[in-house]
Amino acid sequence: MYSTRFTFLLLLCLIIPFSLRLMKYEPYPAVLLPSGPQTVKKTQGSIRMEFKQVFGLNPNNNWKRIEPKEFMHPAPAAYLTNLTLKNMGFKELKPHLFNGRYALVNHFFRFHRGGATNSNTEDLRDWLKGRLAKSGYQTSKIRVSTYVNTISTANGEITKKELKEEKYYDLD
Amino acid sequence: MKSTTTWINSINNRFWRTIVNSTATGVESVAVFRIIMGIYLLFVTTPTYTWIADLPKALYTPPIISFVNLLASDFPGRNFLVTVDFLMVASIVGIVLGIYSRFATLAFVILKVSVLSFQYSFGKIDHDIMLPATLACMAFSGWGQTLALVPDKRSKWDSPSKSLSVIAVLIGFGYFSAGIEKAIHWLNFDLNSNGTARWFYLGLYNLQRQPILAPALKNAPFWFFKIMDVVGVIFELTPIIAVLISRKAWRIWLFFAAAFHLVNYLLFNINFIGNGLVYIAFINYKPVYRYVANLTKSYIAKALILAAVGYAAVIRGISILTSQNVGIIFIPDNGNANLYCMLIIWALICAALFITIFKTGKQPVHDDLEVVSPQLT
Repeated sequence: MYSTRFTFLLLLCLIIPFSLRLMKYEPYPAVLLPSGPQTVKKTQGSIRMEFKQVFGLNPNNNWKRIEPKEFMHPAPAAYLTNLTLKNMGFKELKPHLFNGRYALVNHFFRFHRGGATNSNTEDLRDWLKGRLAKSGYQTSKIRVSTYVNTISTANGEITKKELKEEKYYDLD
Repeated sequence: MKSTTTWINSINNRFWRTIVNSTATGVESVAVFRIIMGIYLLFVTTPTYTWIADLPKALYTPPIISFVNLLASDFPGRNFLVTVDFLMVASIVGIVLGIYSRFATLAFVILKVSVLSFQYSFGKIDHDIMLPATLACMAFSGWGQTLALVPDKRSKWDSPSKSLSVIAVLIGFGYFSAGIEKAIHWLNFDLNSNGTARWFYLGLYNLQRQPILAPALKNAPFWFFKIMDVVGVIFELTPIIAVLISRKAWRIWLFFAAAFHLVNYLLFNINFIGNGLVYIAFINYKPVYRYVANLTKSYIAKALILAAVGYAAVIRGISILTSQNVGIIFIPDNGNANLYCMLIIWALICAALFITIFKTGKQPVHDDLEVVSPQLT
């Protein structure tokens, strides 16, 4: 049978990553399954949910919602949401944790603080342009719009769509 | 102090003994499972990872605590990823045919976790860890000792019962990690507050998932989502209890787990098929072992198996070089064929686990098991 020492080590290997996830620093690899405990609230027969959507300019100069699967292929379609959450990759420079006092902490967060170099930004633009061209859109601009949708709980249809925020990214 | 240590040791022994009683099968059974797992890895899930090489450095945001955050500063190049893809296919062939299975399994796990670490550096961790974790445990189950072209030598590390018992604990903890936060936020008497509805509408309208049963769920009363909240949390918090109760309770939970995933697939279009493969590790395949062993003695069957594996390996190789997904081998690569094929696989998993509930068999006698092997003691 497994020894107590093994059981204790196994427990540590499970609990430490779980605790880190609770602190928003999910490690990988770790034996963790998806949580997603957020909820929606029903008021007067509807719920309100915020969605970020990506738009491209079609050849007729009209903004059209980009189909995530086609745009991201062969990467998983769900990653488009993460791209929008990351400002389409145009990271903003965030302040150092602990005012940058600890070199090890700075090292760990070096890719999360943002501040991409010019060549990195150029590569990012080229990558986005390539994706847009592949999906049949103009490559000059891309738009990310945040909508607050009201969804009826009677039939699940969107009854109202309010624009909350709109961001344009110049790619030329 | 000594009595405390003795008490802790006795609790520890009782804990593992109970789990072994609920989960143990045998070397012959895990050998059959190795072939099933190999077939799944070779024919059903056929990802390639060369696309990661095309990602710009600006998108490189690895998990803070991951080895790629420490060791790498960009997504890897195409040559590296092509090599990894080919090595993974080679290791899968090793698993399915039983060629140095232990080494092949460990190689596959290391390569898979490495390449997924880079994929998740895009910023999203997909929680499909159960499959590599299961494979890592099965590498020490002795599953390559029989039904193998080049069998593994018996080793003091091999123990199917220990491997399966650790997998059961990992499943229990994995689901606990998913369920505990949900329990805090979802379990209340507020019928107007809901978590499942958020998952559903987020997938439907933001990620543009199109679940088969979406029309039915859109028209379902809001309280129905609340029932799903409660059922989901109960399901996620109970595996460790089930495995500690009895062999039958564990098998009942496994069946409900598979059914839960099938329902998730139909209602939310979230497919955790890898977890389904993990659940069927606990089926006792001993009754079919003799049949499989006889089959593999026939020259015609051997030739057919080698031809099918060779064909799949070639298709996978072409897929890697062209960066084109091939979907499920032998099935046309389109959405509907893939969907129905996945549904059939889920139905088969559910049916197999359902039958297992009634064929639990006697509790294993400890002398029959290798529980006294010195592994990790």
